[in-house]
Amino acid sequence: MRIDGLGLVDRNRPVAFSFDGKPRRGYAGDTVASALLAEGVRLFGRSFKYHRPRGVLTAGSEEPSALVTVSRPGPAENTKRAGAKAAGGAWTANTRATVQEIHDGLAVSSQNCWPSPSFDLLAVNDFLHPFLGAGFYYKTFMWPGSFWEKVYEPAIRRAAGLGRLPKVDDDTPREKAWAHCDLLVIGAGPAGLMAALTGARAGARVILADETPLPGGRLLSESLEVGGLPGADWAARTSSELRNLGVRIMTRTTVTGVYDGGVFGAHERVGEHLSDRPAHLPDDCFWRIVARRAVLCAGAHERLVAFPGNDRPGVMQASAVRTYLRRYGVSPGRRVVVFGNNDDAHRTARDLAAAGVEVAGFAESREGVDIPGDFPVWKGARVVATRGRLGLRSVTVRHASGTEEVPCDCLAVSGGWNPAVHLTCHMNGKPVWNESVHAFVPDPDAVPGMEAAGAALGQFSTRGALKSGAFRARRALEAMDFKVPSEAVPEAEDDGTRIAPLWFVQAGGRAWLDLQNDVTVKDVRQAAAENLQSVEHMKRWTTQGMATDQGKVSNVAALAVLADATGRPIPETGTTTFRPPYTPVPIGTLGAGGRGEGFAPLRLTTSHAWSLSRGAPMIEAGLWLRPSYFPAEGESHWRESCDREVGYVRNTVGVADVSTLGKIDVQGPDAGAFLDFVYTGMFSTLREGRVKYGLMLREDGHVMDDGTAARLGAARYLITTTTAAAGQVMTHLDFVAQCLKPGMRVRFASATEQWAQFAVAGPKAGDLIGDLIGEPPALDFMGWRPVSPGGVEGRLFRISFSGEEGYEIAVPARFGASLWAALAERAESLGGGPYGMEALNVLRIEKGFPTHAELHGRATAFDLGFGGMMSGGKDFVGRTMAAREGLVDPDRERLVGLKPVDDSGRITAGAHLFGEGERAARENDQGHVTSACHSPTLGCDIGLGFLERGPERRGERVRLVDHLRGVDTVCEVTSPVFFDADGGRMRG
Amino acid sequence: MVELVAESPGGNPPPIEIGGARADWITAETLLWLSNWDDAGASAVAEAMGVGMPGPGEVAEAPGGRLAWVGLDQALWIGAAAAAPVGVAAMDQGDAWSLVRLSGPDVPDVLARLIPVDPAEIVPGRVVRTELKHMQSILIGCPDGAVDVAVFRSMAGTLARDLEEAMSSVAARRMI
Repeated sequence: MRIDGLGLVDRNRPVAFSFDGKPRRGYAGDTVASALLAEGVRLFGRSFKYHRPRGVLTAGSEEPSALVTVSRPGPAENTKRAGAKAAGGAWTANTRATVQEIHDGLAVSSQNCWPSPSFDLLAVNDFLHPFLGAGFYYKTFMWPGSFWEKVYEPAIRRAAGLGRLPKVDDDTPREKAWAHCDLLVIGAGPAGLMAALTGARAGARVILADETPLPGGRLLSESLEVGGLPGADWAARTSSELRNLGVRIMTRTTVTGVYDGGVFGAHERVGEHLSDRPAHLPDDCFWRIVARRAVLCAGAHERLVAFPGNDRPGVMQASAVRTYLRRYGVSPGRRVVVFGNNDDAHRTARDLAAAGVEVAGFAESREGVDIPGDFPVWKGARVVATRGRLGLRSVTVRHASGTEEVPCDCLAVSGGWNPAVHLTCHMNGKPVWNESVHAFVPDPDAVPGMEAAGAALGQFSTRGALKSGAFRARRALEAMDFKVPSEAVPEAEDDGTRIAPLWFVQAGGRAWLDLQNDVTVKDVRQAAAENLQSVEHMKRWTTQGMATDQGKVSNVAALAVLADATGRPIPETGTTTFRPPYTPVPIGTLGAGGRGEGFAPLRLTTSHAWSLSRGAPMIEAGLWLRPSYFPAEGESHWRESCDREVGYVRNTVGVADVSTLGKIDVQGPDAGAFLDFVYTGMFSTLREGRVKYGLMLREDGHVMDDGTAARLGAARYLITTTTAAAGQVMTHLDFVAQCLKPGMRVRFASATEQWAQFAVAGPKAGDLIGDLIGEPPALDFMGWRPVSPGGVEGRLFRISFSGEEGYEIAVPARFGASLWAALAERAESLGGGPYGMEALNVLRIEKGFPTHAELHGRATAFDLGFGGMMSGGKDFVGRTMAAREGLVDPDRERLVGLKPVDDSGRITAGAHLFGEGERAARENDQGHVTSACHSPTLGCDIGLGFLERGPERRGERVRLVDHLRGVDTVCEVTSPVFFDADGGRMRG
Repeated sequence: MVELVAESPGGNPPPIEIGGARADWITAETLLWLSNWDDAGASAVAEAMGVGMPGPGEVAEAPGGRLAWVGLDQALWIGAAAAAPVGVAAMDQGDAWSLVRLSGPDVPDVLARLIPVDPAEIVPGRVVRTELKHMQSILIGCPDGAVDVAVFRSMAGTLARDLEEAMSSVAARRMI
């Protein structure tokens, strides 16, 4: 029911939306809850377990009950695929109706009910409740054993759950961002506004974050004055001043988590409340706010009292009733009963009466309290029952004079307040019980640099909140060396807390604690009876507080019931652990920006466009894209292309872009000594103009990477790494230089991106290079020299990863595309051409050259047959550890080559090796295949792998079994080098 | 003999201008990486470049260019052609980086979507090395709120994409 003259919604801007397909109207500024309540809707959906009717309980983000599904605008095609009942196709389930603002075209639907919220077939669960109490599934469905997975679990899963996930990809635009400030103020109620004002006037950089669209907090909900102004006016004036002072006010922003180093997570609703959203506008944003200090002014949550039937639509927090009345101009009922144990509840009755709403009576749990007002007052009263199948029709009040049933459509309940301490618990802090306010308050040392103020600290009066906000902000500012001017705190209501604890009412019937997970007082008592007396055990047994609201309204009441049941005081019983996020954050928002190409950077070589123009399928190598092969006309299978490209290198000349290999420029008088220490081999004695293969170990003695080092000058080397390990090697070198050898005069930087480098390999490689540089290459194997193709300063290396006469020519990257095109053209004119990763792999397997398939982190130099490269005359990283007995055991799995006995036999990577004739089972496993290919050179499959005592078993037969691909091949164990074992072709 | 043609990182991409932010691809005549291991090296740098090795996070302005700190005992000369000083590690990095100048009133908001560092720290005379989305980057403060951004050459396309996404998002917020 709309109340004229009240509310901050814009009555001049009507908004049309729909609920369960029916057109509804509200005003700009309404939430779904306020608009529907204004239209007289009380039934919003059904509950999780018993499918009980659910309505609105609160007016904020703590809402456990009024959960709805909200459609998201999307392609019509999605609608069809999803079979969505909400228009739009993609939707968000479990949206709190008390938070979601309405906008034109918004489609809202009820959830957890079929066919409708008023007639829900699964409401049969409610009749079965005697059998479905807490923990029922731990005790039932025990037999027959096989039924659990086949019958029970699928059935339970279908019946359980809150809302439904859409079946389409979530393409909602979302974003993540960072913000920075001196002082973060969390919550813009009276304490928060005052804290922000104190910070701003001191000249600090302040962020004020609030969950709602409008700063003011409860000042917008109450008929209270601040500094002689109506509270809402004071809030508006203060907000305006804050903006003028440069405070960043982040509305619709919930601070959801507290993390190390003063980092706070915050979820901002950016476009969810708009009907016309500009292209690229995110629906929401996940902020990481970095603050030097923070003041938590998150307020408090009003708690319910547990009495039978307290979950019916129409039963609400007394404070929420005030909020709907004053902030939205809506009365949630026409005839309201108020039930409370504290003075705050009185304001609800007074405000309702002043607005002309009939107050059917006030049930005050305490005796001897004076409650002025033109309505019946029952003292020492309890509500003991409610009626109304789909919404409240009456309450039964028991008081000193007897019991009476009072017709009403709304019951406003106040059981006192729980300070919103949650964020103070995110770094393992535990709240402490404050007997004077009968509530848990934050541990002051819970989060370094953050203090609570206002109601979050248990300061429930308005002036108390204002003073507390100013005081805590001042302390934070002074800790940051700001000079804080003295400011008077405005006058406001300063009533002390008057409350007599009342957690539950002793009466027959189900009294509800957790409205989202359907947990009753009886469930908690049952947990205690089952000896689950720890609050953490009770929580898991009953699921109390484990729903999306994390039990904000119910936790303290539940543990009070547990305390009562176990005969312990509340502080001893303690709370469960509050964890981030404070309110639900879509997973898609946490991963915002990570879809498609946003997942990782793409590194493109200078030959990328050329490769694409030749139709090369690109594959990932680290972050790089490299051509897999270059299909020629008439080829229908990659193997045809690969075999052809291998043939180029073996018979004429092939060219490949190898720019992706890591290159590190190492300089300084101690460069040689440094490399001696990081490589197993000796590099300080390498002559200028020469290149050497090197092996780098981890500190634990296993091989980290391999590559070459070229001596560029007396005090300069260029080392190469594998593509995938470039970053790891750079990190390792930094570690060695800074931690293990800090005195060495050596410096290094990545040169990977500076140079485009191309391999030229094959019997005609020398001819091609000669043609390119206008002179013979004139290089011995493992030599290098400067060259200047086209007048550009470059480098030519005589190294080979193919086993053929091979060169690598490097030029500054700006000339890469141009040089590549020239190389490819020349190679083709010589009867060769470019080769991709597939051919490169075949060529290196034929030669037994390892890659990270073999350098997999568990292999030692001994395993690889590189024991001879462990220089004995010097110390190097990993030397001692590599000499451990277990790492040089001849029985270890060591590198071998594998060749099928029958040329048609298949070899696959990942296959396991067994003794010939042995059963292919785990206990007989003797090794595995790391790399495999079809060798066009040898005309059969070949592989590299690790085999127990491998090198000693050359000539033996082993059984190769790939269970996944159904391969079973008898192989001969060979040397890993299949082709040109003496290296004559490579050395030329 | 071959004729080689130079190509810009990313192949001469056009500037990006969305809302109140603009990204222009820029080139520097020289990017020279320098790193010293002793005081003599620092003096050699000061003599050759006209400014000494900058402290952490600092950019030293010299007549021919800027010398920006890029790591422990490391700096990057951005500016006119310069001979490498003797007695220090030096390497041409002119082809290793893609450089973009970000300008316009929305620059801080655009950067807030890409880097964890406070954009207010990136003012003239200051440089930060940080992660830009998923890429390591160098960001140098410039006059009038502009910021020079450098990422590896191979990632120029990703930089353009990430900038465009952040700029679009900020611009969309301006419209509501």
